[in-house]
Amino acid sequence: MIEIRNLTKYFGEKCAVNIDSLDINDGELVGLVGNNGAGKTTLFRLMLDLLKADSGDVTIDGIDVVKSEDWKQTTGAFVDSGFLIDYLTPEEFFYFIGKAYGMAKADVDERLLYFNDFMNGEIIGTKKLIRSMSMGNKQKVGIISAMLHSPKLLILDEPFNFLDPTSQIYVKDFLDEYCRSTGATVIISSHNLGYTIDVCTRVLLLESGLLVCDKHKEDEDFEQQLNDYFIKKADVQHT
Amino acid sequence: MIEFDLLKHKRLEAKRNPMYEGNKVTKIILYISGLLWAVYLLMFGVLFPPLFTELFPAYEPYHVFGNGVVFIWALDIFIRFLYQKPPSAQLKPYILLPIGKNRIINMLMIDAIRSPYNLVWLFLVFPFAFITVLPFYGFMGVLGFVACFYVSILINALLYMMFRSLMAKSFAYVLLPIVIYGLVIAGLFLLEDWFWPVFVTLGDLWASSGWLMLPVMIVVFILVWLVVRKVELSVVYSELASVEKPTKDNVTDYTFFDRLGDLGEYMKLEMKMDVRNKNVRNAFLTGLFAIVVFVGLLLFTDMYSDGFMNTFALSYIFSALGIIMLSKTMSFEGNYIDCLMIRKVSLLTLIKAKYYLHCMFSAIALLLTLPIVFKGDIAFSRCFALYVFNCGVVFAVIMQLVVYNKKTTPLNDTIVKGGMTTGLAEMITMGALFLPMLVINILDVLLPLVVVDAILMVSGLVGMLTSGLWLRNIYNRFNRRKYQNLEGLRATRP
Repeated sequence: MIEIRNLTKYFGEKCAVNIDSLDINDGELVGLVGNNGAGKTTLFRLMLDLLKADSGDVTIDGIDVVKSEDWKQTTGAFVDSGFLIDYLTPEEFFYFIGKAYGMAKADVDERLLYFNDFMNGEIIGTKKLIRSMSMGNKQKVGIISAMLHSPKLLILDEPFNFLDPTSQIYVKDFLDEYCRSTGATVIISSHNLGYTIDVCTRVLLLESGLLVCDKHKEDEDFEQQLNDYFIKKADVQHT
Repeated sequence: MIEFDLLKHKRLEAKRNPMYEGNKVTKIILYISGLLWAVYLLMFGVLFPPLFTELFPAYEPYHVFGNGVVFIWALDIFIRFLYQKPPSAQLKPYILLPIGKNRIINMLMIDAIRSPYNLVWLFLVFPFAFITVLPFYGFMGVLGFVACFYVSILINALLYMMFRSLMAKSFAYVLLPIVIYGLVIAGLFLLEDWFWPVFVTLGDLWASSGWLMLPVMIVVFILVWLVVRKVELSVVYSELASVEKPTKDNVTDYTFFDRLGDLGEYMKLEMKMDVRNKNVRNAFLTGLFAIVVFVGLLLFTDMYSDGFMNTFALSYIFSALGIIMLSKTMSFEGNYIDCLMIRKVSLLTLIKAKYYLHCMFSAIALLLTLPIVFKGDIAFSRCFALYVFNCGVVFAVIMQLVVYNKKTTPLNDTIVKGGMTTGLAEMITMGALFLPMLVINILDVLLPLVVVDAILMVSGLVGMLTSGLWLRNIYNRFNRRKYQNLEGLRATRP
């Protein structure tokens, strides 16, 4: 599904991403973890062709993301507020996004039913512009917009941010369900190690742009190793 | 003083701006054009004294200057509205620091008065004072005259800042400078016996007792400073504290664009951006206002009756709105550029939608010029030719900024989120505004009106009919600079 080869990105002297080889298979739910500045968002931006790599390439379904735009039709992503057109109401935004993927209004309405509980009556029908909404509700709009066209590849940066506990559990559950039921590949980044370990079938640990750990759920020390890493880091910083 | 640190930050903000490199080149070009302007003013400074003596033999030229200084102030404000950026700075980071609010606002105001533009009028006043004041009051008299005038220009700079800030609050405040300067100018004509002596005395005092008048001028400056600071403070803090009201029942969907498919969807998006965001809306209203003002001037006055000025006014009527709006293309979109970029070719449809929509908006200018046509002052063929030329040629030039704009302009915050325009944008804007005007004027001198109109129409039509090609070219060139632009747009997003 996704192949990353010799991908590097430097900001000045600082290495943001340096990955020799990484394959992410269809149907995997991958968690990207790492401390601040590890390169998670940069990696997402490189995968989405929003940032120029210094070297290397990313292919999605065999398509080099730099050379063709065809991968966009089957990819959904939400990274930050730059992915929202905040002077639209959520409905207008969803219809706009839906149209970009060739969805009729009725299809969008039907799809939104899937997110009814998640929206909790605070998104649709309020006639509020997105910019007038709380951070949590903006986050919900972003996540829904990324999933609207049922993408084969879903990329979410910090999806649990700003959400209340109930909504965090919703996100965790429907990402798992979405991945299982559609066979889609889902990649999330998160600082919430508990949820990441809980929901992801595979976890990638980044440190200063390098992939330092790649663990699958079936690995024996899956959880332990990740926990040990962050505890060790905290100890080092403390001392 | 903390103000100097704040000013240093503002300088760094400009220097570390993604557009800085481009700004440097354009700044040089702007300085060169400023120099040409200075030569022009020098010429007037030398020509005015004999002219005033001839026209008003009962007065010394500096008396007449005192009387005409209101026109200079009004012109100064007008030029500032055309070319100067509205006051803005990244103020949010300072608000919670233990720095007095007044000191933060002082930074904005110091920035306004230290602008090199304030010195430009001295090119007019120095030679004028040398010729007219020197024989009576010596070199110190000249310096006193110039110093008093300079302080009056600084007061004008502060007032301009206040007008712009108030306009950010409500566009209706555009009437304030018109009323203030208009009333004084009207007074000079209608209440001559009252106003003339006041301003003649002002000119006399600046010349004869400049150094005694200077403290008075400084006191006035300080008073204006305090008033303007109070206004700025209220505008800035109301902006910082603003919580948008829910837009219940006020959400129009412009469904009539639905029949145009994808293009219509982006036209709807553009309409919503224009209507729902303060900065975009104000830019639109400014364009419309400029059109109405120039139509009014052409319709009711003789100010633009000669060929050159007439062409200037007409060109401005047709291009103002489009230039104001389209010069910000991608800068406004920078707020949600990622949303557009992760969807296939949506950007090309977006710029097409923008272009077609603004061709439609330009028709407003065509409609508004009809009364002048009916009055018989201008031929309809000239108006129509200018409309087509504007859509086909001027827009093609201004839309090149899609490729080069890499600084996000806030959609709603006006003062507290940093600069609004860039040097490159200003240069292309000025080019798009003045070059066609110059070319048309030259053609008007060389060729019959019908031929010039035909040239304008044909070149405009060629531009319009090939719009698909040059818009795609813009899109492809944008894509070549994509990463660089995205980085800049993202880095400057509020």
